[in-house]
Amino acid sequence: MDGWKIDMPAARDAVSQAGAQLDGFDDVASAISTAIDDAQGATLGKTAAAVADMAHNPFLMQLTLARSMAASSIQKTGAALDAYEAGDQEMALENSRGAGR
Amino acid sequence: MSGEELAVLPSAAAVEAAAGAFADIGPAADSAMAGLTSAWSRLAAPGVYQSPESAPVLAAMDEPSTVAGTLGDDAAAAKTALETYATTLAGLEARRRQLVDDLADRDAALAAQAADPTSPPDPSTSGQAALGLATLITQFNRDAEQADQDCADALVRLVRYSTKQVADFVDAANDVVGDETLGLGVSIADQWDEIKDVYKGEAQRWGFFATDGDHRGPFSATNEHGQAVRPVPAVDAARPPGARAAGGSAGAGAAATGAADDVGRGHVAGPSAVSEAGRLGGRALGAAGAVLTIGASFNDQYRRDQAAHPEWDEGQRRQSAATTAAFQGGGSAAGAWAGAAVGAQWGATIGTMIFPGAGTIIGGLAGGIIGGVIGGGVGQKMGEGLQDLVGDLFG
Repeated sequence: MDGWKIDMPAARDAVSQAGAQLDGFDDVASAISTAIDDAQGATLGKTAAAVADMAHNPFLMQLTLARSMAASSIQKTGAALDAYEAGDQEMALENSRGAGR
Repeated sequence: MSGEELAVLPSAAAVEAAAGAFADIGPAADSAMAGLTSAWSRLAAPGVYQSPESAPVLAAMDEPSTVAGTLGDDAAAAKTALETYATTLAGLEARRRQLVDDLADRDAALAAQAADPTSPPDPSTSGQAALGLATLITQFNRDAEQADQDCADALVRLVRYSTKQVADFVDAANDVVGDETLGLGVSIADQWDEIKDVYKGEAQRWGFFATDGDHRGPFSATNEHGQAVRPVPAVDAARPPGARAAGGSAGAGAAATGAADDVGRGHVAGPSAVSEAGRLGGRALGAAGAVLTIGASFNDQYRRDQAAHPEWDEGQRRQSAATTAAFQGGGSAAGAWAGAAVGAQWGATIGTMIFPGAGTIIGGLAGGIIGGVIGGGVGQKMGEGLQDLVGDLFG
């Protein structure tokens, strides 16, 4: 793929829809929170302490990592679209100036 | 534990039910990623997003999907560990019931014999029977402890990130939260007055502040970073937080000498008392880093208290952990407690001080999911404020 071919409305819509899907991680967080709370409430001693450990590492770290990576990609792709659009306009402006000379 | 004292067991049924809750994590993660990848795949349609760098863009959800898949795998492993423990506990419960009955029968026979010394001795009161019963109790207690240890070991094996990876995660979280697009600093600053008021109210309720809002207690101790650290008790020496006295203030001398102050904090938090998370906190941390560090400090202490003081109730554990988090983790992460240097970080720390599963709040703040998981009095009020904050961040 050598050049650029972007359907701006369709691409923006895809990025926007993906952003809205980030809310799905709230359900993951709720599931983790419920499981950890239940396990801490049901156990004692070393097991309860281990539950507290794994709540942070790995569960919430994984959740946050997955969400952060996805969110970052969505945001940066949106920024790329902005740049593409701005560049397109700039080129169009330059072209129009050139056409006028 | 005395010779005849039976170990207290968690309920097998409750542990099994708790294990079942882990089954929901994997499908939730899969569902979240399915929605994302489905939306993202629309970029791959012909002519929608074709560029020289489109390949990595189109594959951008692969790595989050892998992480989410691992999350599901770990949840399944935790479920299995807890189910195995529940099965073992069910057997232990039956043995315990039998031992309780045997002890009751033996005690009844002893009482009857005492009431009527002329009656023939009951076999259950013989020395041999007593020895046998004691042996059974000892073995039962060992088995109960081993079952707890085995389950804990299985769960701890799931802790897959090294200290360095945690540190890298802090950096990554800072990058995310520090992103101007997400605007954490602006959002916290906007709501700082409200956050501060709630925090001060809660701190007063715990006795950290005098009623006029000034801090009380000494700040002469410093941690290994040269930062002021409020003295906190060593866990074993501490009385339950709920038992501490109210009112008054202690001078710096109490901290310097290690004498108990008026709230029962008798030990200076020197380098050895600074939590693992606090040591990590020597890094330059932003808001998310402070939350992670302080939250981890909270977790460290909460975990230690669970092991060292199983008799403490939830409120006592929260208070002890919050104290440590505020004065150790906070001292390391935010660099100042005394009030002059409180910044946006403190707003973020409050969640960790009102919820026992500090990690939940950590994930909540970093992942934008605070609202539904904060519980309890001030937590609810804070939740309202932070929900708005998170709405600003991730809405």
